[in-house]
Amino acid sequence: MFDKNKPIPGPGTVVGANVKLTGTLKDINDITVHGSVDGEVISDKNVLIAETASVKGPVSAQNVTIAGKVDGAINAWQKLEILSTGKVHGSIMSKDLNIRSGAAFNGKSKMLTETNEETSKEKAAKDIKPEAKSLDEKAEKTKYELD
Amino acid sequence: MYYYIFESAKNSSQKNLQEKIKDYLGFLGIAGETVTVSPARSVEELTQMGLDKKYSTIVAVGGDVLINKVASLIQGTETVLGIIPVGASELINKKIGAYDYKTACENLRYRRTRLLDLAFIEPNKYFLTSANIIANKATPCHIEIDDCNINTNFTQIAISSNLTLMILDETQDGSFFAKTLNWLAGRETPQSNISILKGKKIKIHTTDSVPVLINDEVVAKTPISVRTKFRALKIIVERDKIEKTKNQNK
Repeated sequence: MFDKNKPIPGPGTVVGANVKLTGTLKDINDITVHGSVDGEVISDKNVLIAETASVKGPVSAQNVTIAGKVDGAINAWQKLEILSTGKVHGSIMSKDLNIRSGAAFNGKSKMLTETNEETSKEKAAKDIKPEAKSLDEKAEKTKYELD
Repeated sequence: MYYYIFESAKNSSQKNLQEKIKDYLGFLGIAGETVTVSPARSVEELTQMGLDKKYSTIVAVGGDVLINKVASLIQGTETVLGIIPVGASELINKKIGAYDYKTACENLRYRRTRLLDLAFIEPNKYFLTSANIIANKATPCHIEIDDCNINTNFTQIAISSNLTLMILDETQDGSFFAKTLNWLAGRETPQSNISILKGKKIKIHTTDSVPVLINDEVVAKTPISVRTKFRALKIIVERDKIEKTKNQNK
């Protein structure tokens, strides 16, 4: 029976520089954000938050690269890279973390091991929302802490 | 069994090509009733005649305009759409797996069919290719695409038949100075003025009403709502090809 909920294959999603998007951005392919997103960004593959981009909300993907601004939790079950122009305010979770010189990061960091990598993908949707709420409640900036 | 609707030939070379197509169809043993669009008989009338005569397959022989119109009228019926592209777009050629008339005719002979989803602008403007909205200057718009709301300016919006939305704002192309610097440094100017999004339902609102075009024909004006009708059209496509593997060659 044809499944109307089947994800649409094809090239990934791109949010242009002058676009203001509100809501949940989901794609099984890559997502590239140049503009402003107020909501979740979820991909099964790669997410790139470009230099001109601003995201308020959780980001979840296999690999995440941040060159812009993210205000929310980030869950990269493989690799997370924060480039020199990147600014992250929120908790991060990844297996492989790379923070370049010049990047700004305020929040908690959790490194994924092989044992908890699979469950983190499943828990991504559940973990991200409560995390985002708790960050909003905390008003102060702190140094990053490694668990 | 086959009912062929030919586009009106604009010159002698098109007329010669149409004769070649008819000959090839006869050679393949799939000749049928042929009709040609004319001022006396429109595409809509000819297609309706084919449906009234209960032909199992109606074949559009021509470009995107003819193909879209025939598809719109056949959708939702049991009649199968065949296509022999003549000057049609890459989108159509790719859908049917034929880039020349001979391959398209051979596809008709083998009759491998596929059910296609068809995009339509509510209430009833269907299209197999794409719908376009073009503005002379950057125009503000509000777009609802599934769970997302988007506010942006655009100079062009294109919606493909699988509801992939492309928004272009040419005014965000970057200054000539920035482009020159990038070119001198051997860098590509990033294409951040294009947005590509996918959805199952798209609504487009603009501050001023802007015409919506399908194959350069105005079919509606904004605000519009675009959706997909699932499995709306049965179409003849290329047959599966069996490829030899290394093991088979041994």
